[in-house]
Amino acid sequence: MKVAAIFGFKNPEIKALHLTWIAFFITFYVWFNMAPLASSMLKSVNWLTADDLRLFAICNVALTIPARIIVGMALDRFGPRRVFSILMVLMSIPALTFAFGNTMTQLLVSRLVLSSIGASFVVGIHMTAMWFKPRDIGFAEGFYAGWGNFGSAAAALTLPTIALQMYGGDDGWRWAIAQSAIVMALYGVYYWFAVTDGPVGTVHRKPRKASALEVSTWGDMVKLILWTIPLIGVLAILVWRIQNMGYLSVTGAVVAYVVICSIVCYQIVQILRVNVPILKKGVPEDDKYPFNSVAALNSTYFANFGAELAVVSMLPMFFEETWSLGAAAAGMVAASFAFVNLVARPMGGLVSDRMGNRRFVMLSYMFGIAVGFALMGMLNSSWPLIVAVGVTVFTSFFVQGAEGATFGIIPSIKRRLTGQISGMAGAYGNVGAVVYLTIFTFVTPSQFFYIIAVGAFVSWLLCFMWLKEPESGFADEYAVSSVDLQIEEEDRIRTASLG
Amino acid sequence: MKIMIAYDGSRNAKQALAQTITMFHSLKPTLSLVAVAENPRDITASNEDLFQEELVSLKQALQEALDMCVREGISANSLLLEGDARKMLLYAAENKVQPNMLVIARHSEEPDGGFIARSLTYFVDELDYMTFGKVSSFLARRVQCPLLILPSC
Repeated sequence: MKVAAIFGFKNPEIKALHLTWIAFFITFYVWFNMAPLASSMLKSVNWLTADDLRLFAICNVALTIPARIIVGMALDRFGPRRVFSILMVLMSIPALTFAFGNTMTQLLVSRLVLSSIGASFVVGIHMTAMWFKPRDIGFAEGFYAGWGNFGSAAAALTLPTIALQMYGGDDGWRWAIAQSAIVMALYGVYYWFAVTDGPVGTVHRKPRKASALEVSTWGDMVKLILWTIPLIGVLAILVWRIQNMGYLSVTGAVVAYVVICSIVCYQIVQILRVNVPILKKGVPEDDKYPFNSVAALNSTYFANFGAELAVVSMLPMFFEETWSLGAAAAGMVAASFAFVNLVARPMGGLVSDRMGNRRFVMLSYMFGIAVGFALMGMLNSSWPLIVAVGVTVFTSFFVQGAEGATFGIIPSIKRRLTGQISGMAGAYGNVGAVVYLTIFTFVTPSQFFYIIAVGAFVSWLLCFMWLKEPESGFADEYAVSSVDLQIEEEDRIRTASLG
Repeated sequence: MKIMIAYDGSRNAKQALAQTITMFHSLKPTLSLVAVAENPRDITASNEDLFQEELVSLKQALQEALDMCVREGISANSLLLEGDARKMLLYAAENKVQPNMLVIARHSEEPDGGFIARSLTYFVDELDYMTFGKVSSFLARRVQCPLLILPSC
């Protein structure tokens, strides 16, 4: 596929791609509509403190993980078009509630509910996958992800100006947020009628849905359980922090802990239910895959996408306070971090595809992130602003490239389980964001950058030890393991008995 | 004489096959037609159908090519692989087929579209060649047997 193909608006798949990235762009715009307006909020709402805003930032990424799970189920049942539309219309409600919220509870709860919007990424990926041929999909999805992620930069660039110039006054920020919510709801309605799930007339088989990831050895199952606990367990940190700041009673906290615990237990039971029979029967040698690679990629996404979400949430304020800029100027400068998305993320995937060695590309990127954030940790007001922006762009380039490289490896670990592995890695991005933003409520921005650098370095170590260069499937036919053949056979028997 | 041909059923590949047969017919070669299905760099299972479609069309293309070889009285076999086209062709040449010569058709797509699209394509392609290259340059650097690159005419 030629890059120029994205101008072929007449082609249905290109049209779908453009409509979908715009939808994703809008959801990201709404998702990060608070950070650039933080200082305006502080000025106009007198009972808000900086700590409250940091708490909102955590809430803003908290429920994304459970939402991903729900959205994943909905996708299998209703298809991406309906799910995307409904998500956009539904999520405009908490966004509006937040815009006109007057109490702490109202702001907190609406932000918490709004965090579900982060699940939009998965929906668009499904949509893209239904439209493009396998050989074009890498480029199409890189384009979709990169340009859609740019929504957070667009929010940082435009929202302060909209709030201060267009609406003005004390309530300018409210109208700016409300406007983004209304645009999203309208686009959601439009999207429903504008696209179809894949080319017209295709019938999609429902993929065989397992309730948990399959593994190859008993040891891997233990690792899987250990790596599953933080997915929902990380919410306990948030509950603890909210209670700690005095917005939640002890009873409320206990109830929340019990709910989180039971969900985690349910997930573990599912893992056991799926895997114990498989492992007892024994996994054939040709169907085994190393779970360590999955764990390493979870850690990279934790350290790169998690860092990105966290940094995007605090960067405008950091620039504003350190170099005493105006809200609009700080938004512009902070946007440089997300701006790089337009090039860096597709490029990460491209480099990973093109270089002979994906593992090496991943390691280099992670190392670059560690160096970049260590540099950002050294930033202070004595540095010229232009150099600070340069360092920010440099770091961002590695962060987003690493995201692309992560998803460049995922499909080649185990073809049959790609969807589930990527779901897990993606969720780890949010785990990272929650963890980092919680740490952020305790430390200064400089310390915060150093901590992210350490996180990236740890991930680099894990990759160094655990990540194996994926081998391409190779067989006279094509890489199908004995288990794949068995699944095919089952499907055949099932369709035969139906027909 | 064993000749391996990278074959994907495209117009260029068909031409390359025809040219190879014309040129080397008298040597009574054994042709190995190797096709590679690109593994989608994708993170969902929802495009499995599309991938299967591509596999089916490649299998068909190989079958047609084999039939043609039979008509021409040339012994031929085929191989279908999955993965990154460049790496898998290299792997097949080194470890599977071990041919006396590898034949590939140089890929040349004329960019269509207006001035912007054309210059954009030109720029990206230039980057491509500078950094990593496409299938033919990748193989030209690495493959251990004689390599014949046929331009499309």
